[in-house]
Amino acid sequence: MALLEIRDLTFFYPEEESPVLDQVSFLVERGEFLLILGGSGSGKTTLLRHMKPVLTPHGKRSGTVFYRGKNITELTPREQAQELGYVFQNPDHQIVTDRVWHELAFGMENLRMDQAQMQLRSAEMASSLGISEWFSKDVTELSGGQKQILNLASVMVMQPEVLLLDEPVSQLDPIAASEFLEMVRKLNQDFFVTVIMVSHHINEIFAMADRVLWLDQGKVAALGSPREISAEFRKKNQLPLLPPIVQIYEQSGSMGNCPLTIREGKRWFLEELSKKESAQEAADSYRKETEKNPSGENNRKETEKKPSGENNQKETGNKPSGENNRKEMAENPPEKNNREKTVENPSRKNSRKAGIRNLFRKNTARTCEIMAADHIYFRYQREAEDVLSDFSFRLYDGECYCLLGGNGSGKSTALSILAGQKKPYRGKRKCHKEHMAYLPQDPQILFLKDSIYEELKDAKETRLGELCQNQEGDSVKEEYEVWEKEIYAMTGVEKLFDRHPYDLSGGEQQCAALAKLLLAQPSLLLLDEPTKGMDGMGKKRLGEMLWHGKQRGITILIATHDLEFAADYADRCGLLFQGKIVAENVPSEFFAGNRFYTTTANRIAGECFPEIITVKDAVEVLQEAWQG
Amino acid sequence: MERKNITSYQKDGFASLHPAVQFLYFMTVISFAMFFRHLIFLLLSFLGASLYLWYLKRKAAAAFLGHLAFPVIVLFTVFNPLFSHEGSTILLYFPNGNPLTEESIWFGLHSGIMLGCVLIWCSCIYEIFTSDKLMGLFGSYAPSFTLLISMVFRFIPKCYGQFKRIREVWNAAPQGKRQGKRQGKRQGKRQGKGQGKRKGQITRNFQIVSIVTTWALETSVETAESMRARGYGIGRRRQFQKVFWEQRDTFFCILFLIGAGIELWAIAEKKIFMTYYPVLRMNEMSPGAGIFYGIETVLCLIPFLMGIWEELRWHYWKSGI
Repeated sequence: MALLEIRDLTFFYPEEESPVLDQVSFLVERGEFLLILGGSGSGKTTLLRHMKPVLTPHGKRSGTVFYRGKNITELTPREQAQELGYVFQNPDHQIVTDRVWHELAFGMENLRMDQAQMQLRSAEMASSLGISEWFSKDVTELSGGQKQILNLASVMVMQPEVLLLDEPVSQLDPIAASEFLEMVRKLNQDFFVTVIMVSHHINEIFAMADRVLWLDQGKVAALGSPREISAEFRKKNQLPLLPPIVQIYEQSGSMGNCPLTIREGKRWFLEELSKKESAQEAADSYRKETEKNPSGENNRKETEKKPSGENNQKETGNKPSGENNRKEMAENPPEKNNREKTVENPSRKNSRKAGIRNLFRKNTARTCEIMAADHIYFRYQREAEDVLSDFSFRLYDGECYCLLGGNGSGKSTALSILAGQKKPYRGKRKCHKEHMAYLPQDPQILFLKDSIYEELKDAKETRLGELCQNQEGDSVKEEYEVWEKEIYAMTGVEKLFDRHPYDLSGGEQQCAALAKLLLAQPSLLLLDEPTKGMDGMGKKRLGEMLWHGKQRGITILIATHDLEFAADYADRCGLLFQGKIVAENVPSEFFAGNRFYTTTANRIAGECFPEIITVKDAVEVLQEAWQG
Repeated sequence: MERKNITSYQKDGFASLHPAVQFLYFMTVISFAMFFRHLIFLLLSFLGASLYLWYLKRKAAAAFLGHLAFPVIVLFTVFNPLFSHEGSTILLYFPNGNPLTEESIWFGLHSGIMLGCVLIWCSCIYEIFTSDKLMGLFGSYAPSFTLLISMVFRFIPKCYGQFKRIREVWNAAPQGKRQGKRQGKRQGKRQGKGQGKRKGQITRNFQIVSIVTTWALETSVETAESMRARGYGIGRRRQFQKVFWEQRDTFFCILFLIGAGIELWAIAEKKIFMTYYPVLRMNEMSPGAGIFYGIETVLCLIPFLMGIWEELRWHYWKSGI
C-alpha cells in the first residue's frame, strides 16, 4: 500500500474557469523523495497543500487523496499535525514565537505532550540538527538559513511521516540552501522520512530525488526518475527548468547516460571526448602528412584536448578522413593556448565571445564611465568590522555588470552604497547619471499602493510630469507611450494590473517591480539578487528583459550569487571578497581557469576548454565535435 | 523594539534564580519601598536598587539615575512644599500667604526618593525579566496568554524591521528624493524652505505605515497557517517548561521570607516608625533599630551582592587556573 495516493485530483479556485489541478494521479511510497517541478502558476503549491488538509485551499474539488489507504480529510487534527509536516517558503513568516526554544516546542505544546517528552524531543532535535547553540536565542538574531532550519526542526520534533516542503530554499543564499537541503536529504536517507518537495532550486535536489513529478498547467506532464524525465522537458521546450548539467546533456543530443551531478557530468564529458580520440588521432596523423602543419606542438595539444564526436568512428569510416579533418580545422581551431587565435579566427563559436570582448574594449575606449567609487570604506557600527574596505569600482556606459561574491562579502552593501542609500565613512562615490533605479532584494518593498495598476500609474505620472516640465508638446508624451507599451510587452505586467502587489508570486513581483522602475526611464539600473527564488524560465525571462533594457541604453549593475546567470548575461563580472573587488573581467575570462567558483558548464568542460562558461557554449562544442 | 542578549544576564547569580523567586523578591522590595514610610529604609532600598542597576548596566545605569531618578527627587522636593502646607514647623510664608513647612520638604524628599526607587527597581526588572521568565512564571497556568505575549514579542520587531527596510529604500530612491526636493524648491519660494519636503516625507511615512499594516496582515495569514499546520487549536496547550525549581531557590526563599517577616513585624509593632505630619518623628537609633536596618540593607543588596560574589568567584577561579 502506498503511503500517499492522489487519485484524479481536479481543483478549481473559486470563480475561476480553468482548473489549477487537472486529473492529477500518482502514488508516493514510504521513504521516497519526490520532487515536484513546474513553471510559475502550474499548481505545484496547490497540489502540495492538498496533502495537508488544514492547508487545503477552498474551491471546487473532485478526486481524493489517500493517506495509508484512508481519505486524508478523515484524519483527526491531531494525526494531521503529527504525521504531515509542512514547511513554507518564507523563513520569517512561519515563525510564531520570539524564542528558538519556544518555536521548537510550539507543535508539541499544541499536542499537549508531557513535559519530559517535550524536553527529550526538543533536545534530540536540537542536537541532531545542530541548533543547540542558538537554542535560547531570540529568533530575530538568526540568519535566514538558520530560521529555515529552525522551521524544519520545529516540524520534525513532532516526528512526522511525511515532510512537505514548499520551496523551502528559494529565499536563502546558496550556501544556506545547500546546508538546508543536505539536512533534508539526511532526514530522508537516515531516518526514512518521506519527502515531497516543491522547488526551483534544482541544481542539487535534482540528483537527490528518487522521482520527479513535472506539473504543467495543472497536469502531470511527466513522472519518473530524474534520468528518465529530462527528455520530456526538451520536447516541450522547458529545458531551463532543469539543472544546467541536464540541459547540456539534452541540448547536445543526449548521447549516453544522462548525468545528474557535476561528477557524472565531467565523467560523461570526458568519456565522450575519449571516444573520439582514436578517430582524432588518425585524422591528426593524416593532417600532419597532408598539410604539414608547422605548429606540431599545437597539434599535439589538440589531440589531447580536442572535443570529439562520439559516434563518428563510424562516420570516419564512411567519409574520407581528410575531408572530415579539414572541415574540422575550419570549424574548430585549437581550443587551448589560444587567446590571440580565437580573436583571429572568426569562424568558431569563440567569435561570439571575441566579438563581445572587442566590442567591450572598443566601448570602454569610446564610452565614459557613469559611476565610480574610489577607495570606499564602510561598516555598520563603529566597533564592527569593515564590510567594504578599499572598494574601488567603475561602471561604464551601456554595460551589464555582475557583482559576484560569496555570502556576506558585502555585495548588497556595496550596491546600496552605490545607490546612495548608505554613506561610506571614507572614500568617494561619483555617479554621472541622475536617473538611477534600485531594485532591492525583496521587491515587495517597492510597492506602496493597493494594486499594480495604481503603482505603475504613479510611476508613469511622475515621469511624465518631469518630461513635460523640461519640454512642452505631445511628441514627448507619444514617445513615452511607446516606451510604456514596450515595457508592458517586455515584462508581461498587463495581466497583473488588478492584483494586489502582495498577492503576486515572487517572479511576478519581480516583473512588476522592474516595470515600475523602468517606467521612470532610468539610465542606470541596480538590481540586488534579482534571480532569488526564480526558476530557470523566470531567469531566462529576466535576462531577456535586461537585455532589452540594455539595448535601449540602460546601464545595468547586478549583485548576485548566481554564476550561471552572470555568465549568460553579463558583459563584465567582478568578484567581491573581503569588501574589495579582487578580480574583474569579461565572463569568459573571468570564469576561465577557476575550478571552484565557476559555472556548471565550465566545471565540466573547463579543463579542456577554459572559455566555455555557459550551457550554450558547451552544447555548441559538443555538437560541433559530433558533427565533425 | 530592541532587546539585549539574554545570555549575559543569565550568568548573574540572582537573575538565574527561578522567575517566581525573582518575582516575589521584586514585589516585596517594591512594596516595602512604597508602604514603609521610613526614610532610612527607603534610602537603603534606593542604594540596593541603584547598585544592582549599576551592576547590570554599568554606564547606562548612571545615565538612568542622572536623567530620571534624580530629577524626580528634586522635582518632588521642590514641588511638594509648594502645594502641601501641612506640618507644624513653619520656615517662611509665600507671597500668597501660604506657609512653607519643614515637614512638607521632608515629605517631598521622601516621595521623590520613593518614586525614583520604584523606577530603578522596575528598570532592573525590565533588564532581567526576559520573556522567557514570563513564560516560566505564567506558562503552566495561562499557556495561551504566554503564547500571546511571545507572539507579540515576535511581531513587533518584525514589523519595525520591515518599516525600516522600506523607509531606507524609499528615502534613497530617486523618485522619493526627487519628488521631495522638487516640491521643496517649488514651494520653498512661497511657503518657506523645506516645508514641501517635510510634507512629502510625512505623506510617505503614512504610506509606509499603511503598507506595513497590509504586509503584517498578509504575513500573519502565513503565520496562522503555520500554526494550524502544527496543530494549534486542537485542544488545551501545555507550556514547555524551561525553568525548574532548584534547591537554592528554596534556600533563598526561606531566608528572604524570614528577613522580610522580621521587617514586617518591626513595622507592625512600631519598633521602627517615622511620621512626617504634623511633626517629623522617628524611632530612636538604638541597637535594636540597628539590627532592623542591617536586615533591610541585606535584603536590598542581595541581588547586587550575589552578582558581585559570583564575579569575584570567577575572578578567583580564573586566577587560580
